[in-house]
Amino acid sequence: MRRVVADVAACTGCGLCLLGCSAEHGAGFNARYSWVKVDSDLMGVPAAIRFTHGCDKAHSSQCVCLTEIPSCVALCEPRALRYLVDTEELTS
Amino acid sequence: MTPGYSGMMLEVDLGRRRAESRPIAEDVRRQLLGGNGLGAWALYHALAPEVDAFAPENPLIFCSGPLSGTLAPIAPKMCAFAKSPLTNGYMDSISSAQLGTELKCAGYDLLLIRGAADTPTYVRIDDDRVTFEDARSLWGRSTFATQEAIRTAMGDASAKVLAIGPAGENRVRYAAILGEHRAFGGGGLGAVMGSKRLKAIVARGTGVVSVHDREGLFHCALRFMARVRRSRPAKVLSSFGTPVHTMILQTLGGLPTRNFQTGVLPGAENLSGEVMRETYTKRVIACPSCMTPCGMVTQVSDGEYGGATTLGPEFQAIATLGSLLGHARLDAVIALDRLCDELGVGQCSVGNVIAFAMECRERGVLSQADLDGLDLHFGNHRAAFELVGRIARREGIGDLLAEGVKRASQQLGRGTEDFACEVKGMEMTGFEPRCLKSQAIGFAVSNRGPIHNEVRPLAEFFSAVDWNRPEGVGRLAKTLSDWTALANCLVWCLSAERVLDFKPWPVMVELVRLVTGYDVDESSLVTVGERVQTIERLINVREGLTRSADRLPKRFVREALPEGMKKGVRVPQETLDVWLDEYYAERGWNRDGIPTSETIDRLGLRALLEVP
Repeated sequence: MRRVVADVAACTGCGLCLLGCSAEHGAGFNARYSWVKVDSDLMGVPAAIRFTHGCDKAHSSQCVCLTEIPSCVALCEPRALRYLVDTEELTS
Repeated sequence: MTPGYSGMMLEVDLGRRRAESRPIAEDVRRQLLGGNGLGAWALYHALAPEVDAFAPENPLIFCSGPLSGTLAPIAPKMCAFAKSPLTNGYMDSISSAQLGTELKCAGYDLLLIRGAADTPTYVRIDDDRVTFEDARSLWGRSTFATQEAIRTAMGDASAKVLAIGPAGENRVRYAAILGEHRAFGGGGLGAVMGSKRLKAIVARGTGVVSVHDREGLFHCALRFMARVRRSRPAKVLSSFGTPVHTMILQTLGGLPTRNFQTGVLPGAENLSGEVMRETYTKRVIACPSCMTPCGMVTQVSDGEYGGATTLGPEFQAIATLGSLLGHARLDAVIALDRLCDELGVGQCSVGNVIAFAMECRERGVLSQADLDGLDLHFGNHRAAFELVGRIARREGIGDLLAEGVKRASQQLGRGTEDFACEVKGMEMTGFEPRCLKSQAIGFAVSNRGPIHNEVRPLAEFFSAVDWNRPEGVGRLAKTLSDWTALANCLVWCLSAERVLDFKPWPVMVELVRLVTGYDVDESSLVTVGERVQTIERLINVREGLTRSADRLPKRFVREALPEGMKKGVRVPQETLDVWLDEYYAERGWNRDGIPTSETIDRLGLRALLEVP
């Protein structure tokens, strides 16, 4: 079982995951179309990370064309998103 | 359409309540790239000479850069432009507000606002639908409350808002514009917005940003990340934020203190990055798309400022709202930082203005009665806190101080010009120019006024120039300010770039190629920087700002630093004159600082600016 796991406490709110994801599933970059959602307050402090297409339950590898892990995870500098295959973490 | 751009600009006329979009010529994008370049070009065309900064004819311009909204991991920012009510000249201000990217997704690289509304208004941009909304119920409210209210009205938490606070409404000449908690702080653009009765702008864009080589950009971002993870400067920045500079400056004897009377503050360690991290920082967050988070979310837990929370303060706020006011209370700086952002007051300017008023009080120019009973003296952060509110509301003495240091000094007279620290009418940012020579020349030559990032403050430690001799300084300043202008075209972060160890050009070239597909190289990018500096200068020349405006305040020319590592150092006018001659010659400007006809031709500006 492959899945993305999120740790909102490590998230800096940079939003690169959103841009990477949106380009995987759309014609270009716009965080609005990301399957990952980072809920932040006006200051930009992340409060929750959500997945609209169940990537945190069962990731179906639709977005691993550029590296073997999903773009959202690959682009996460603070490692707030990680990619697990069963219990083992996959890194680029 | 070129990747990285929408290729369009939106022109909004507040008086006629009309909006129309039109294309931006490919040649303009190619030669100026975006951000700083595009905005300066638009301001050159839209601003008629000698228009009052508060007249409806003063255009207010916002734009993003080609890298905005892409995976470029160092370009989170956007720019704002207008004629400044402080300098009466060219002004740009740069912020990590997210509206720029949202505008790009809505289909616009640039937003140009003309005219003035009859009643408080906000402009709503929903892709290609532009409407003018009633903002009377928002008038008087804070920048943050305004943003929240508009996002709620929009029914979309992801819509992006820029707003002014009471300071902008009351035309405080150094009022700021806030987007989220990020300010366009310098140059009084919030007052220009207020003069148009424009309380806010909200945008929602459902289009996408495309790039020339997505896969290449993705791998470039991953390489950048590997670099960030190895970088010691990145680690320091992410741990302490820009307040890491406090103790560096204190050690060098260049921490601006008591209105620049000295460069050493007793107890400065209480304003250090370390104390901030240990006592006040709750979380570290990043600007959009940035892999080098340095935004310190701070909170004061107890005491008279208990409960105050802010994003920051940055070093510039610590210097201008802390040491410059003669105190070392970080909790007070946090509370002041928050207050300025809520009211929409430019932090550096207001700190300078209060420091100036404190010195006026110290020298007996202002009495306690003049100050409406306020016990204003160096070290009294409480009085400073009270005064910020009075300035934003233009109450009592606040009305005079809302005019800025230069105008306040002109009204007060009585020798106050000797310690009025301003250049071109704008107040100083927080690096002491006698201690850091890069700042001395940068504050003088910058088209915007005394801004620390025109000629980079740390440059002198990484350059081969002997700063004790006047020769070579002008040449280096030219090189560095071209680099600044280009960074501001992209619109890239001058803090995050320290990851690149002062060698940004290869990454700049790579990112521009990957995003836009333009066949640029280092030399063509330098030319972009030269173009931008010269367009800005041409705007200033049109407004009558030439060599005589490229000066330093009397204090730095006449008075030597009284203590610390740089004790005895001042910047004599003869030295500054040598620097200016060399700087102008390097730029192809004449001895008065006016671009020559040959330079205008060499840079291809005649067609771009339609100069006859």
